Amino acid sequence: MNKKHRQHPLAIVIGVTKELKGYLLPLIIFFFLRSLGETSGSFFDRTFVLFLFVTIVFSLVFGFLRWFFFRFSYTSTAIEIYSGVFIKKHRTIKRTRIHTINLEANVVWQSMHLVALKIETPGNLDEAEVTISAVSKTLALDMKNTLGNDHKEDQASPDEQHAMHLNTKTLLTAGATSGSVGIIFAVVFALIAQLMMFIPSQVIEFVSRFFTQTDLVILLSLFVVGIFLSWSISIVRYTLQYAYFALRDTTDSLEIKRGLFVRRHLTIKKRRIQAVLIIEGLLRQPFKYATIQLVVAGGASESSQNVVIHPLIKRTHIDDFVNHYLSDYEIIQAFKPSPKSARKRYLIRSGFIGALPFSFMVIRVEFLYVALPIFALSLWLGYMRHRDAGYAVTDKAFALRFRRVARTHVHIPKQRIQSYHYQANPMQRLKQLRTLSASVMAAPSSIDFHVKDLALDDALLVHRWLSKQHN
Amino acid sequence: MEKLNERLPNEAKTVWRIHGIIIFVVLMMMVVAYGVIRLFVSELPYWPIWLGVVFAGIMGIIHIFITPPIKMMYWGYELREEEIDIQYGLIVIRRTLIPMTRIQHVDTEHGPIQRRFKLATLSISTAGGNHKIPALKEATANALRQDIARLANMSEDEDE
Repeated sequence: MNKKHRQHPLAIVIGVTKELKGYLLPLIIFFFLRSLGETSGSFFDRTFVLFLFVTIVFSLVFGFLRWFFFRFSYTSTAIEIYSGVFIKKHRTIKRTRIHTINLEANVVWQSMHLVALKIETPGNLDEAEVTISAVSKTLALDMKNTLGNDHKEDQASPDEQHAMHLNTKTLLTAGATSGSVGIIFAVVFALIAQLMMFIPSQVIEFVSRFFTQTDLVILLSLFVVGIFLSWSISIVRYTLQYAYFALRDTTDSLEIKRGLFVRRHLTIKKRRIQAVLIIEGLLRQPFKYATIQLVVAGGASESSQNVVIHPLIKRTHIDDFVNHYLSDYEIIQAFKPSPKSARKRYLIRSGFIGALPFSFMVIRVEFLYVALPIFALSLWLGYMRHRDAGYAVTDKAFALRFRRVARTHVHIPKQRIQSYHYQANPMQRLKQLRTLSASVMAAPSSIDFHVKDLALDDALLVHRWLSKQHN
Repeated sequence: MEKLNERLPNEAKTVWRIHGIIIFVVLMMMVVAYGVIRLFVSELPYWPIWLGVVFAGIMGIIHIFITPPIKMMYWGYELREEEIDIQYGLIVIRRTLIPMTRIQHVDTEHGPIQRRFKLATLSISTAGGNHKIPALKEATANALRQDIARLANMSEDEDE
């Protein structure tokens, strides 16, 4: 069984076409240039033909070599792939890691009794997939039988145990407190500034007649209108996205339906859930509300981004909710914070960026009045970031807490941690601080969750906790 | 940070130095190319040549003499039955722990320079990203690859 196989020679054709496709863009540019420069036609044409010739020969030779060096063998436990013309690659994929094996055949392939074989493994998109573009059908079927996972996707039983709906008030509140106000505000403000040029000067004069300090009033009223507008837009946008939000629990999956015009229907297999995020936005945290999201390892077809399973939940209800829908998860409350000695680093990090607006004072000294509040705000954010940074471990899970702008708790079950690392730059080493991070599987590629400047002892503690052989 | 038991072979340092020399040579070639162009276009200033030589010199010194021993000093790894422990770094030192059950596949690969010194790079893929151990002795790399493949296969206790 351990014989090394090559692909069917027709695979060369596929390889060459793929190679040629890569040259398509330069070719188009070449044609485009040619249509422009009609003067030096003959020289251009000659180089063009040469270019074309070299390209085709090159890709033919390369296509053949690639086919020649691509070999694979398989046993009941793993598939081994040898490839590479100059740089030799030898890859072993365990059977248990194979997610799906798909056989595909177009008309031509069918007539030749060939199939393309695609092996998907969960994880990073580029590396995780192996495509064998042409093998005989019998070989492919044999491979599928020896390597394929025999467990079938069990049908979701339609017993509607629990369903959660959002009422209108919650929906509107969620919209009003969603963090997108800031971004939309920036857009709206830029738009208004543009529109200002088209407002007739009479209107401005008419408005400003009532006031003495024209510039300031216009700026201020613009500001108020801008905020009002962007707030309304963000509420409407949010409402459209999350209207009729419903969460339903079946035995092995969660179903989410939402949206007014664009109805979205998502089914999340519970065993694909990698981590739970509890996000407390700046506008939500003071009212003790949060959003719950899931990190789900999906196939390539799934949409990216984390999945919102509760847009707006009272903090006191989080425990119940999680117990209900995600019974394997426990929400940890007791976080071990970042040590006092790290506060300065947090303040400097935030303050440094917050101090940048001071450079505008070169243009006009009055910018001080804008730069100063921004700087103060950044220091405050740095202080909050330090206060909120922390981690926790239990027997079953690892939790991180950090703040960019919104405070985020991440709960990762131990067996979902793909790798754990801690690192330090020289300054951190001097202060016995470490940046802790854990990577988990996610939709388009993996996510690294990290918390900066925790104590060295804590970094080591987590290392020992994850390590099965105490060292 | 405490040291891990397994270190990279001394040839690793040589390979890094050769990379440094290549960087130096390429930069110097760029300087020479500029000099040649300047022979024909006399308006071009002279100072980029000096700047280029100094820059190439500094980059050369850094990559040939300074970074290889530092990288060598910090590089370490340990293969245990249930996990792989890696430490590396130059300025930022990173220690990584990869549980064996999370490993999807292991590759070994070697470029032309590595091949000359009978070295290979081991790359370990999990669903949470790739991890590389560069410049291992070819025999070590192959042995590691087989060991990891075996261990990763055996310890399939949890997971879906």
